[in-house]
Amino acid sequence: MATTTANQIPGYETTFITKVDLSDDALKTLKDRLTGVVTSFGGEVVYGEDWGKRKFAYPIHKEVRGHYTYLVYTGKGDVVAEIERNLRLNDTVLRFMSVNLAKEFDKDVFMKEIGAGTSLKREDKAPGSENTASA
Amino acid sequence: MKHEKGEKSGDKYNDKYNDKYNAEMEESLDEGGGGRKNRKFSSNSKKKTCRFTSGEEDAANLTYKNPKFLSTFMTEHGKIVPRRVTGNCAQIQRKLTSEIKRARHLALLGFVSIGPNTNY
Repeated sequence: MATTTANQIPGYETTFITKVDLSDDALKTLKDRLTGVVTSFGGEVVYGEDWGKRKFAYPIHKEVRGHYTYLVYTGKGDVVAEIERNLRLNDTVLRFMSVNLAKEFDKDVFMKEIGAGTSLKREDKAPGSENTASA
Repeated sequence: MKHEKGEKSGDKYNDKYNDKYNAEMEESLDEGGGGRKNRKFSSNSKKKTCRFTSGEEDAANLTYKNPKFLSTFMTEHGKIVPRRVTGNCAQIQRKLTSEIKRARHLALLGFVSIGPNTNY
């Protein structure tokens, strides 16, 4: 296994919800900022997905729809805390959630799981929601 | 108000009129996780096997990213169905619960209703 290293760094996934009226440019700026944070902690963004606009099950900050984005990244140290700090500062981010994936994150295993469609099964969008271009 | 034996009263712990009935209920608690509710709804049906460990369903589908699949384990009002009804094993039920709670946090599932991402 040429790609696996002796010390693999942990992997995390973060899902965050932004307001629907956020422009594409602003969303891209946010993603670039998060990517910068990840690289500063010695990691990389392994996978990014745009779930598009979805209807909420309950109103969040009086909004009924939101734009979901999903990121998988690796990083050492307090990368998650720094990412969440950046998300918290942004006014257009309504909610976020980070999940621990693996202490020694194997990118190939993860990408294979995605390819097989078992780990990350995208479902049909809620009726009436638009689907923006996936990342 | 005298309660007859076997008749369901309001709250068994406060039912001071029928200590004997309460004592019997206490005993039945030792016999396989009982109490009033199980006595009323107890079914002697065959043992259910967990559909995940037996391979019927893929445990990799159990993630907060599949709210439609998770909603099959919830009632209309958004409650998580107990494991004695679905037949899940303890490990899977714990994972299912935590994934449902994550989905609820992300508004993919609801707290008091099941949400829009379902077949209901």
